[in-house]
Amino acid sequence: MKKVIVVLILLINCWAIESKTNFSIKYISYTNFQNELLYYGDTKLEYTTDAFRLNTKVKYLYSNQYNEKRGVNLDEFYLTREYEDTKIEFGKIIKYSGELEGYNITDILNQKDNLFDTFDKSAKNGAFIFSGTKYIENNSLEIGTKFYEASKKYPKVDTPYAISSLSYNDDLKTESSKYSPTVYLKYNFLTDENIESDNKIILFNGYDNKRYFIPQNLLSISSYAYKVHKFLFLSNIVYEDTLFKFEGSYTDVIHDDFMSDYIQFSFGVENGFYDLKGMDINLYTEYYKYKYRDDSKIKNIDISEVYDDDIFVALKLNFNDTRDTTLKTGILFDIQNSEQVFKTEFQSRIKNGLVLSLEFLNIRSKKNTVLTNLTNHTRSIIALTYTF
Amino acid sequence: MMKKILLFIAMSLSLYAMNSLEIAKKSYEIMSGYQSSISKTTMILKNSNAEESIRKLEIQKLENSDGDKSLISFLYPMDIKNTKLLSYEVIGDDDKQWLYLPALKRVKRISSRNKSGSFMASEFSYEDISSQNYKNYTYPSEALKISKDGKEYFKIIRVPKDKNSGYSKQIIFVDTVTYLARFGEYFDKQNRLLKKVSFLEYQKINEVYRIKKVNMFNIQNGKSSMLIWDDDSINTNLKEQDFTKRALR
Repeated sequence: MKKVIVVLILLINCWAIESKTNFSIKYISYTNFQNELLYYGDTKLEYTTDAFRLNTKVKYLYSNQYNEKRGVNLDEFYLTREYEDTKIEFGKIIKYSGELEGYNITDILNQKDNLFDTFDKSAKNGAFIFSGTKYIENNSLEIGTKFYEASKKYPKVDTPYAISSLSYNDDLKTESSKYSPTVYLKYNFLTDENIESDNKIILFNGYDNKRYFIPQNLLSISSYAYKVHKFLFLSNIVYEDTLFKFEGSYTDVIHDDFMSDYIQFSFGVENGFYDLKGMDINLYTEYYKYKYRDDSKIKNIDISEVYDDDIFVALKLNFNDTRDTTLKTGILFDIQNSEQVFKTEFQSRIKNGLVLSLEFLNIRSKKNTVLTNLTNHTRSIIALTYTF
Repeated sequence: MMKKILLFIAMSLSLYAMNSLEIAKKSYEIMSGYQSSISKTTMILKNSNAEESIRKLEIQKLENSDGDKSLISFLYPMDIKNTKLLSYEVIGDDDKQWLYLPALKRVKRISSRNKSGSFMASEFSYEDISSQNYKNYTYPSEALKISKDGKEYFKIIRVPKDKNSGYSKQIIFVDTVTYLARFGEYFDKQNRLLKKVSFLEYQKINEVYRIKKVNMFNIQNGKSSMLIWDDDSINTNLKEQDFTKRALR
């Protein structure tokens, strides 16, 4: 092991590889489950030559309590070639799309990593993608293909955030081959004259990011991926000191008989108040809606559907101190079912590179909803993260 | 006694006044002409208990008569490394700003009305670190020539045109020989003295004066921040396309 580390360090130095590693120790207390001590982190490496750039991201985690949360995962391994006004990317990659803070309807290329943290929107798995982007000043046109539909893991029964009382088999079933490509076209444009806005239009054809569950046998279920045409639109508008944000999508299910076409939309408002006794405060108010065209078909099949007829209200307090202390607190309130998810995060740097985090999450669910399976519970976290 | 003091002060001031705008313009122009620049900087933050914290940044700038463009990359502490801020200065109006958050790979448009907000938890606000273009201010009075510690300065008062500025006015003391700003006093919206700035060191690169060390002391909270240019190069052939949203990723 020592030799491997020495060789790695030598390679990093000799080949001018840029690296960044986060390593965390997290103690998580659950009211309904066994507490756990989680060691996790990620290492990002970037190797640049005149011809290309190679990026990798390896994620690792080890829970002393839950076997499913042990392992090493290659989240990203991709090549980038930059030209004057064009960029080509190829490999296993995580891409982000979205404007809102709580949940992003339009962030659909990568599957969420539910084993790592169901409520962390940065926790995603890489997808095999080839994409080309043409830039015209601040506008761009991106064409991409996802080559492979990977299976997705979920927490097991009797572990935090299990999705069902039946056991889950992560052998993904698909409408056609898993290698059947998903293609997308994304146009990003700014407007500057009357309205100052940043917009994206995405056309998407292939496997939906959402999947439904099918029984494997009497005791277990697995995921099923179906094909769709999707139209997505994102926008943010700056008006004085307010940001208005919008995300929407229309999904046309191509062949699948069990799934209905559906519409999702969300909008949000962000306001900032600066230099209040040295602090900055940001307020976020967001609303999410999910609407099936045919209500008789399958519903409540994916954790993303938590965000239906929900209001998200949050506040971020930036103390502007030398420790970069921040306090974030927010509530997701389901209007229809009167369910609530409450989350508070506190973060402060103890020393350069060493950050202390505290988190409190409380779920208050009702019967027969997506949240029901997550159970009413509270989790409290204390974590130390070292970045080098 | 009081009369003597007033007489002494009056004598230490020049008997003639000069046009503040002209001085501000000249002061700006001797620092202009760099076309584009790449600077590595260190920022030392000190709280009121004199505890220190360090930030490191790379600042790329493109000079433009309509307003400069800048790309700031955060290098240290490591937990904020690769966070980037792209700013387009708009003379006399809100700038345009985008923030790149590497954890999510997200480019986030941010409201540029946070001019008075702290930049990286320092005593520098966003408007302090943006270009000090003389066109961003009005000059309500003539400049006065004053003597302080045996040196002569032009004392100019400037008022930010942008109503979202955190300052009601700024008093800048400009060297009468070099036309370099040497120190200043910034007043908050209630017209109370908020900060004292000291432009401690300049260097000349290819006939262009460049700031090398500046200190900002907040009178009201006792905190201070020092910004030091460790490495600075100009005429670096950066182009417009290096300051588009593409550059953030």
